[in-house]
Amino acid sequence: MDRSDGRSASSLRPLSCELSTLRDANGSAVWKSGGTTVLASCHGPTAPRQPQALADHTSTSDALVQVLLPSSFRHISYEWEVFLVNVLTSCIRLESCPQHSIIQIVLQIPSNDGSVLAACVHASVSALMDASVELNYLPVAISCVINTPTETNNSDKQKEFCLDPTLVEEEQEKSGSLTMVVVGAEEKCTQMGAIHTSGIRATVQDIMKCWSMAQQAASAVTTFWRLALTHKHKQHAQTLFAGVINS
Amino acid sequence: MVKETEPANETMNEAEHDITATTDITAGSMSVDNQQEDWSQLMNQIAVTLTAKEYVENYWKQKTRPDGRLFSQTRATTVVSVGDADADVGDNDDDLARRKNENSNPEVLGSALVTVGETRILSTVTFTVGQSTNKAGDVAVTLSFPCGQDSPKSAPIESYIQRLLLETIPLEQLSLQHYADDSTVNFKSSLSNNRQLSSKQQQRSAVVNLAFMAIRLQVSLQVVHNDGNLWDAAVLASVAALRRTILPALEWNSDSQTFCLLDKSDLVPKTQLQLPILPVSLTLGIYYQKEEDDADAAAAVKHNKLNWMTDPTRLEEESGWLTSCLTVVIDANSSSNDCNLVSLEYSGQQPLTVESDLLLALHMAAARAKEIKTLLLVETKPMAKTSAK
Repeated sequence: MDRSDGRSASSLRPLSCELSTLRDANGSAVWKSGGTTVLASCHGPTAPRQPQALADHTSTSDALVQVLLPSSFRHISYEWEVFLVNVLTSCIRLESCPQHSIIQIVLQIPSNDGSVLAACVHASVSALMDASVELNYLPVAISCVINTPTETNNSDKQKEFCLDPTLVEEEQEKSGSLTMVVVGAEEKCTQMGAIHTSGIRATVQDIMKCWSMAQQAASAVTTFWRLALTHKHKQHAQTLFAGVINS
Repeated sequence: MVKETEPANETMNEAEHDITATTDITAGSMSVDNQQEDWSQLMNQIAVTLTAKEYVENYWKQKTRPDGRLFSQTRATTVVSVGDADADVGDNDDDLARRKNENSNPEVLGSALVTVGETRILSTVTFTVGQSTNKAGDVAVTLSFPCGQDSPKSAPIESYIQRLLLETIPLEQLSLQHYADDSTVNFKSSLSNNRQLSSKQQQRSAVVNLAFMAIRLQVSLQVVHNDGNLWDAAVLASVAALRRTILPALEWNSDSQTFCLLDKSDLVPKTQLQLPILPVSLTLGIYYQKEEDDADAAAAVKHNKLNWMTDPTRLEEESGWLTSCLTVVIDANSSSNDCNLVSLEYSGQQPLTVESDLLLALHMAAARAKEIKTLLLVETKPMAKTSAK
């Protein structure tokens, strides 16, 4: 498939991650995937501010994860909030957090150019790592769009699968998108941590095809995370005091 | 000397008495301990029975469920829908009278009562007319609980069903653009002939653009009783009501600059809402059964057995064991060889193996879609009740 930005069907857009951008938050990150930018701030684990937060909590004493999305995504924010809360709750080692504490993730989306949900997952995980919250694993979210050929086109034309779609590719007529969370991308055995679909008309084989492509692309994101954290630690090591101690 | 021995005897008797009293006290304390132990055992048994978590797990370990179903078995489902989409009904006086009595509210286009086990949801379809930006109609969904209970849970379900209906219903059929084609000339002529339009009418005539007028279908879901798996019941209730929905017959009134609803007793051609895609939902909870024989924690994780809890009840949902939930929506109108997935939602604490776990769930969802399609086809006459297991 010929994509407008010249990418192949299974390639991701250039990634960028800047950690510790906000001073007041325990952890923060600015995640950029092509033209999509997501800013995430992590507050916690902290004590709940309102007693209602405890009342809404389950009967367990584990820490609670809250995700706040901007109001511009109100039409779909309820589903995305539940999705992000479940993904982050499963990857955070809650037993290491104080009981009845709350970890709050606040997301801002300054720029939307497609694959926003995947970028929200990556920004949230980056903010958690910046806040030194212990994680069980790194969830990698990969978006995929399935373009179904229209009836006026050649009937022999098969469906097209593209990873990390732009906004234009997502809004094409008769196209559906999937966001899959890959667990264990750095290992050989990968599993699906979560999946969210929108407007798909897919068969089981189509889902398997998308999953296969997502598995292959997930390792790139974990490698990028490793580079980003290594760069952050190097920057922290190169401080004035470190120079004084070494001398 | 005898006198001296008497105090000794008394002392001995007192001692024996003391010994006897001590024994009685010990026996009493022992009986109290036994009672306390029995009481604690009784309380533990009561706690196990009353605590949902242990109560449900006891059944699941025996490969059954509290209501006697198998893990892959859904609850009995009934659909009772009311609408004017009776193609077989004629236009004689009896049929017209029956149709009028069934749905006496002209603003209600269709309704349905869906029962999944003990979960009951009543759905009604009404409409409003307004301007849209893309000349196509709109669908809005509201979900309400009795007495405001569980209201925080309604927002995700509303958002999900609304998005599902917007993706599956062709919205072009809700457009009122044809009124612009028919009445534009009359609209302009009325303006030119009647120069005494009020300021409000002039303002309204300037704003109303018939080419962009469209119908918004309002699907109202009322939870009559919640016994778990609201997602599937709500989707089925919405679809069942929309299947029987007849689009309103409207007439543009150029004098009042509004749309008027034609009386149903008039023999106007009925336009049924077209649903080329019939979404059927199946929700499965995931229960991981840990193998207790493995002492090594890592080995125990590998041997955790995944069990699909199809159509969970409220007791099972609130037990705390179902940490993950998968909802599959399949187009029941698609062929059996190539079933079309309409939606796939999964997020939880346990990851899935796509090649085995997910495929099994998709096959179960396809079987459920066939079952629901048969149920909806059998339910042709109003107030007819069928059940499916």
